Amino acid sequence: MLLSKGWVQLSALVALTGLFGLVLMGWLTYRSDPPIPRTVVSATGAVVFSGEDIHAGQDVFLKNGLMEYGSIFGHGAYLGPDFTADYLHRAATEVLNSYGGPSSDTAARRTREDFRGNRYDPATRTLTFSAAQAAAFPVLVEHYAKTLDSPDGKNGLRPHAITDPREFRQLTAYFAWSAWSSAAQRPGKSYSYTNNWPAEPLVGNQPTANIVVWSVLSLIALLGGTGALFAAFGRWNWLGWHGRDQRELRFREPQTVALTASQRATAWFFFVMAALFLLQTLVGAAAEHYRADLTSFFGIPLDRWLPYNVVRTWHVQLSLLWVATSFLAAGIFLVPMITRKKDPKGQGALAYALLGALTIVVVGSLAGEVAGIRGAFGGLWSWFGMQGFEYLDLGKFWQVLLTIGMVFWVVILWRGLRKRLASESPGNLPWLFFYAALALPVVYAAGLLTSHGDTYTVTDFWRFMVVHLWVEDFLELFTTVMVAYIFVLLGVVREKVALRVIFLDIILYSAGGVIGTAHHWYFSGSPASVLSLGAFFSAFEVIPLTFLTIEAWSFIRLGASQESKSQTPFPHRWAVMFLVAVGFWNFLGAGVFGFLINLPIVSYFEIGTALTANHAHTAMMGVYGMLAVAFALFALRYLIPPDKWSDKLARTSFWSLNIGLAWMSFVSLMPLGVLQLYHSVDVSYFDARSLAYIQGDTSQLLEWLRLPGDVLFIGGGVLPLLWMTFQGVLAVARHGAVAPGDDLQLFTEVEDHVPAEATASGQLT
Amino acid sequence: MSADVVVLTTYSLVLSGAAYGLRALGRRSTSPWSSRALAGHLRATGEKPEPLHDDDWPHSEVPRLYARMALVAAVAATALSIAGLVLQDGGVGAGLALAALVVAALTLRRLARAGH
Repeated sequence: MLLSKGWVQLSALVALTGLFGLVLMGWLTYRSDPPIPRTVVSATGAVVFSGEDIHAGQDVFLKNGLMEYGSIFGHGAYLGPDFTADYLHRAATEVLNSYGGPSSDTAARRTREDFRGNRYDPATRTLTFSAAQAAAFPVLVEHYAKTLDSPDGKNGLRPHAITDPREFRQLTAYFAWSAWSSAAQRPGKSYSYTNNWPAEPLVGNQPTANIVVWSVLSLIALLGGTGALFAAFGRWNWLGWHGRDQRELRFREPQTVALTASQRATAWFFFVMAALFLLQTLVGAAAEHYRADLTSFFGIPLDRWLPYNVVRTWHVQLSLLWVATSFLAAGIFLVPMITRKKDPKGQGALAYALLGALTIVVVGSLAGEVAGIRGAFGGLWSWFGMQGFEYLDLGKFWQVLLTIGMVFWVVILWRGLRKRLASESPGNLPWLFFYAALALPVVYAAGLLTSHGDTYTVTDFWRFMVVHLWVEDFLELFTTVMVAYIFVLLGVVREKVALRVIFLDIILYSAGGVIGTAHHWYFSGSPASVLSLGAFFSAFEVIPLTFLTIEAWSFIRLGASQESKSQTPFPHRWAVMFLVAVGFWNFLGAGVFGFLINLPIVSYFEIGTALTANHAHTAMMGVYGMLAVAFALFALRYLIPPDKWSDKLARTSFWSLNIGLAWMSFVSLMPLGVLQLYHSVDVSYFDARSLAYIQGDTSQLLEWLRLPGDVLFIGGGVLPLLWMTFQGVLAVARHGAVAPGDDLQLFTEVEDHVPAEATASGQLT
Repeated sequence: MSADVVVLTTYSLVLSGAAYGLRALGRRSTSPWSSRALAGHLRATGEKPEPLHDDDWPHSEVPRLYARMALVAAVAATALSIAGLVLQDGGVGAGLALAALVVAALTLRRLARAGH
């Protein structure tokens, strides 16, 4: 093993501690989620609604894709209202008016007492509403019926989106339960099940002591941790990326590099990736149009066929799917370069089979979602239609197939790596590459535990195993391993340096990211202890991201060192430039914009506003999107013949994607989000999330200002990429295969002046 | 005066300032030796590296990188100050938005004159 065992032991210890914290929080969540009563009765004993109504209401909410229209407990989409805050405000207003109106102090006091008093009896599982609360319920049923059964749409949903009166009642019962849990005090506590979220003066909901104190401690954790890491980098100057100094590099012309059948198959993966990317941006543009103009799509009644919740669902799902397609392809492409051996028999066919399966999942799940929203599949809606959890919208059947597909991908990698792994220490790069790949299906599979039958709090725990742990931690780990391996293969860094970077990454992300998952559960019904753990540890997530500003420059310098001594030009200029963009957006989008909304006190007023969208776009596209494109360009450089390769197209795509994304963030989403946050604190969260606010003059102008950036992003960024991947597909048939007896030669040859150094592809002599 | 106008115009002025800063940064050499103060902890060599040529990649890209970032910031500042002008309701707000627009326009002109 190249590194000392201490690195492995420390990484394992920190990772296990993080996982223990996660299990502990899961236990606390299962133990302390808001109860679902068997019956909700009024003060007179009349039944208002039942527990079955609440469960059925959650089903109606999910299968109709309402989490991709508005949100519940702050989680979901941003066009429609947050239904928890919406019901709470409307019901409190009804109650206040019934007691004498806003001018009466007695009415205000009685309203607060009605909502804050917890009259749930665990022995009988009966919840008692005050007479005024019970009277508000049918009024709210009528309100939601009117909104969701609107004959002319114009609210982002299709006309007559839901028509069954029974479903209106069930849906309203679900919203009423969520609103009850957000105001009623936890037994023995002075705050509600949701830590007093949402802010609602009518019921006395305001930030708790935990929210304020842990926000401050979170800031201290960030400052202290950043200082400590700077100190470590100062003390041990071998930490971080380092170039190899005493060496000469010679690059072979890309067309002289022989490609295996599985590597050639990746041309199709990248073409599918670019096509999905284009589709994702087009439906994203449609979703954005709904925010700018709800009435029609340039005269076309788009909401009849593709309402907001459908295009938003596709936009969110495709963001994961196109990036995953590139990652799968990059893994397959890299294996023969790692082993320097030909493919095992049938490897190419398996790669094509994987692509076929992936295509079936993509088409099946997207079609299932739109059919599910329209009421197809009956009782099997959660299996084949719209499962409905944001980011886990695809039916459970497709979710299972996707997991199996990823396992299949790991098997493909294993076949290719098997002989190399047998000769390597389990702590070296080939094994770390395999572990990082294996972790992807394993962690994604945790998302299978989401169930529409569980309480929202419990199911959200499992949902964020995918949304946070998988996307933000394990994809980040896979990213680090892939980038490290590519730099080793390019001859830029030694394997030992790459290993240090990876183990440091595991330690830092395990210290912050795993327990930090809880920053998503501040207000979804988990106890205050989960909030405090989430606030404190998620601050540590930002620390490694602050170092990416240095890393981005390191990437440039590493690229520069490549260029200096070879007669053949460095073939990966634009792949490296995309890696620089990954560093930039990782710092800005994930680090700065993520931390902007991470403090509990900020999140309390901000959750579900445009600042969340700002973080989501700059982190997801800025980091994983740019990385997916970097992987594609890296492979396409070998797949596309020199006469068809265009640096100009790569350059156009690079600048258009980055300028388009920057425009989206700096000109539209960030100012929109700041103004919306201000409005949320100044007026109310309910009002800041209302359609009336989104349709206001300032919001509308800023939404339309996004248009030039989006056009540039799609036209100048995605289309050239699609054309380049198409060139890759065309070239595959003509590209030279590995001749019998050929030894795979790498694209980089390294000559070291120092004995016993790496000779090529990071292999030690 | 509308709070929205204050936020938009102030933000526009910040972006104009950022554009100036980026333009200035883009003119500075990025050679490993001259920027050693920032990257010193990454390298421990005492030998001075070979001098850079203007067309050495990726240093050839760096002025372009900064110039384009500055241009995006300046255009964004212009767009946001115009948005402030559209939304202003007279008085101080109008003056502030107009001032932000003038600063953004001057920034754009300066960038254009510099050939970026």
